[in-house]
Amino acid sequence: MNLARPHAFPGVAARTARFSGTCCALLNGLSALSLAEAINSATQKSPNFLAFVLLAWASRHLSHLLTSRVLIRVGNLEKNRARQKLFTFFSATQRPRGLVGDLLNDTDRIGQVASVQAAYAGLRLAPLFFIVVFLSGGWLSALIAATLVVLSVPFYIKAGRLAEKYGEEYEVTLADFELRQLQVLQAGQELRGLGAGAFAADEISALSEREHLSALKAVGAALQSSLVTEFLSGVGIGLVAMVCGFALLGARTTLLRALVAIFFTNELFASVRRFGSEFHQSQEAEKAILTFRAVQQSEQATTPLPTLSNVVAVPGSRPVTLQLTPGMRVWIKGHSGSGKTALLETMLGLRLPIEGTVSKGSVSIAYVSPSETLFSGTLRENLDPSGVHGDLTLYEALHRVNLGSARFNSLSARLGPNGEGLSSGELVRFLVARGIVAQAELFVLDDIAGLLDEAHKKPLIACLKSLTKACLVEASTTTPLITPSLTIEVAK
Amino acid sequence: MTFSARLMKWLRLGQPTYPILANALIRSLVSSVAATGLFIAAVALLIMSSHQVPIRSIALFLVIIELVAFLRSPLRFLDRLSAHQLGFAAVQKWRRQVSYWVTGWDSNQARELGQGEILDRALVDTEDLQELWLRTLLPAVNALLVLTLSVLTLALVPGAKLSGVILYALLVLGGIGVIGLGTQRLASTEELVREARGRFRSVATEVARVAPSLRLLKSRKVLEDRLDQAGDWLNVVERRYEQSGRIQQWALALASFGALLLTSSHFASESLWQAVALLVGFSTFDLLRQLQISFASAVSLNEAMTRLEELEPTSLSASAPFPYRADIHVHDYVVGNETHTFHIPLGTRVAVIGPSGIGKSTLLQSIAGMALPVTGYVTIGGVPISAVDSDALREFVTYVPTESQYVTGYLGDLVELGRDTTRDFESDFASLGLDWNSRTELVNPSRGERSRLAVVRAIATSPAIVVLDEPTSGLGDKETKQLLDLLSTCDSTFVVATHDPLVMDWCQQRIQL
Repeated sequence: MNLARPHAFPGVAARTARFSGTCCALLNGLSALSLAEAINSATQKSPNFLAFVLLAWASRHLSHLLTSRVLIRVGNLEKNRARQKLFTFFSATQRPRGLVGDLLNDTDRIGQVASVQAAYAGLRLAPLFFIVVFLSGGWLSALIAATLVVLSVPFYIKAGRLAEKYGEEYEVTLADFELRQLQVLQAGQELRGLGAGAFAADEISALSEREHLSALKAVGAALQSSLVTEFLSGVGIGLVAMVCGFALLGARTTLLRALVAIFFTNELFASVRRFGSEFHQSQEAEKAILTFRAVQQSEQATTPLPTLSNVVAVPGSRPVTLQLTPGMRVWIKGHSGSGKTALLETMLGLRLPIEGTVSKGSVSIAYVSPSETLFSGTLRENLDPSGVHGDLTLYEALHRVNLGSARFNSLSARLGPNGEGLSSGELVRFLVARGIVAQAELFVLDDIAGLLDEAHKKPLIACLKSLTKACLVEASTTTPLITPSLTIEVAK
Repeated sequence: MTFSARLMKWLRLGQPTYPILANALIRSLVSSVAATGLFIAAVALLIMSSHQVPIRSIALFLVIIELVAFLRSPLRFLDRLSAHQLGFAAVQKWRRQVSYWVTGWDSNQARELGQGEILDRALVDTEDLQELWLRTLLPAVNALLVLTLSVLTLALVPGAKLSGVILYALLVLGGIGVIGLGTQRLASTEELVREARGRFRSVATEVARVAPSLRLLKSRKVLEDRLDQAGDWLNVVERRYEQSGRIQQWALALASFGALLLTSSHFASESLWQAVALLVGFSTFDLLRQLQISFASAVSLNEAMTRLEELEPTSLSASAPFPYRADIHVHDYVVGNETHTFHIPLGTRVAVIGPSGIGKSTLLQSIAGMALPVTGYVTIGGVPISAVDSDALREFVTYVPTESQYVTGYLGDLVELGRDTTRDFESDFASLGLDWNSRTELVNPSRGERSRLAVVRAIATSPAIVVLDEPTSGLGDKETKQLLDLLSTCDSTFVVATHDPLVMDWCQQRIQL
């Protein structure tokens, strides 16, 4: 997929970006035309001179405004849209692995797509500029411009490939350097303790110099690709000026036409150059857009409660087939490391099965595991993240899981950063209470029995027993909290 | 620190050598003049042709134009290349500076900042900063030089009035001034954007962690709202940032408009020169814009500059000479509920012992002058260790932390570390059973090899005081004995934190925490 093509980037914002790009190119053309008229008027002492000067300035300034305001605004709109999709992305269960930071950088990159699109729209006007060159400068000028543009393509591609090759080599050198610098920085205390701070700094300086030699090679190759158009544009202007100059000497053309030919040859190459300089950004922006699109496609509706059919969650384990129904109590039994958690995560769609098929549930599911975390904020927000229930419901849920100590007296009490502050035993009971508040129809309990002392175990067992309409699945090495109606043994 | 002060600081820190700077400036000026000159010359050629000037002068002009047209691209190539060279030279200096800062942290700062992520970030930031030369200073100086040339060109136009030239210069200066002022405003809005971005990132990171389970629960409004709010605020400030750039756009518009009006009507009566003056006036717009873009690019680096400044060591200026042959005293050092005062006589070997986590390493760092103790103070020969000049301190007191990390490369470099060594380290290694010489390259040494390397280089300069934290970890009894025999050949004062009974026996005194 090539992002530069309009269909790859639909939406009002993109259309606006392309429209602005077209307008910019037209305004630049108008500016060139007015400038030619102004110079021509000056030679003829025409009173229109000042009007053309003003038109040239106004169109140039308007083009600048379009680039600097509209494109930035459109880019920000796109960025904003990507940010709004972040939650869906984060909550997508089978999300591609990647750091949150990378994803946030992706949202910024999406903003750059606007300028790529605008440059592409400008490039699409190149044939129009070519026609102007033909009409004003004659067939020879047009032939020169066309030949040089056509010539530039293979040169550009060749230089681009070379740049890519050196670029890859440089990436390796850079990675080596960064690894070493990181080692030195991490050993900072040791080096200081030995009085070797200056030595380490000098080593970094020397390595940096070596890395930059490799970088310069890559930069040189990358510059070649942009210089191809620059070179041909210079040659183009020179040759067209020569052709038009001879035509003027032979009185075969007018000064105005000659000037227009020169200015539009310049604009023709400028649009190619602008696109060339924006194009490298399109690759990264394209990746970012694909990442965001992948998320939307992965979500699909399925059966109410999860169903497993011959599912193998960890290599070598026995295939599991399971159809959950309301009120069912399932004990997933197995020794430590046998793959109980993996099976639960597969059932919930948090990981892909190695074999078999999983139909994810559409009902609300409470996942109760000591590895789950809460978020910073009040107890109320954590207990009812949908923000729809009254305090009475919330206190009742806490009471049912026997969370009645002083710290749970006020729902406005705040948890620490990242929702820290509860012990593991409190956390799992809190998660059960959260499920009760959300009226979850499936409770998945991941090895929580061992976290509770006897005093807290009994009320929780009673509480779980009272959830008669809900389906309960518990993974446990020891006796489970539920009274199982079905036991599945996970073993390799 | 204001934005402009910060900018100047980093430009000063990354100042390249003058030949590189001069080379880059001259090349960029020549390339800009060639690019603008080609255009003006082509127009002039056409006007001359239309006036039927003698063919000879036109031919000469044509040759010049074609020459410039062919040279324009290579000139630009050299210009860009030297701009990158300039940027790289600066990056090299910044990297050196940041490394120097990091190796100057005291232990408390190292604990706070020495996380992989911060150091990783520092690498990216120094790399990004090359834009300061590449996209800020070089284009800005280039634009100013070309603007100066424009003024000179206008002054040379036949029939030009001095008042017109001065007025043009004043207009341009006014434009530059307002663009400069607008940049300060842009920088203050940038701080808001930075804050909002930081907030958005932290909310997003938290949401990413809990979102899957909340999605399963179909209960996500609170967090979704929180993420939306942080995102909305970021949008608002980004928009404000964009708007605060408008002052510059107006300055640009007005100055270029004035310049164009002036050059198009007041300079020459002859059409050829009138066209030249007009084109010079028209190029004012592009030059001022180049200036505006380069200033804005500096503002966008404010974040990286601020982050890197946080790595600067909290420096304590001290100048007392090191009291060479003297005892160490640790006064009023609090461990748990007890206050201790220790005396470590010159040339003795002292073992610091106690359970894990009690603060042995912290005490060692205080004795070695790596950090100020949280309680009490350390003196050597009556001089507080914090008053001793840090270079002198590091020359006479070496400190080795538990896990040695600077352990790959050629052995000669790894041991000498640019210092004047006084011992034959090859024979020291031989006495430890290691057949190593200075050309041996260590790629992935074992834990035991790392421990022995760390000790040999700690004594390589025969320092007055050697502070070792668990020096025998990863060593068997035989290797430990060899190591202790080696240490016995030094007459330094040894302070060693250890759990190893062999080391405890080797020491003459124990400090129990």
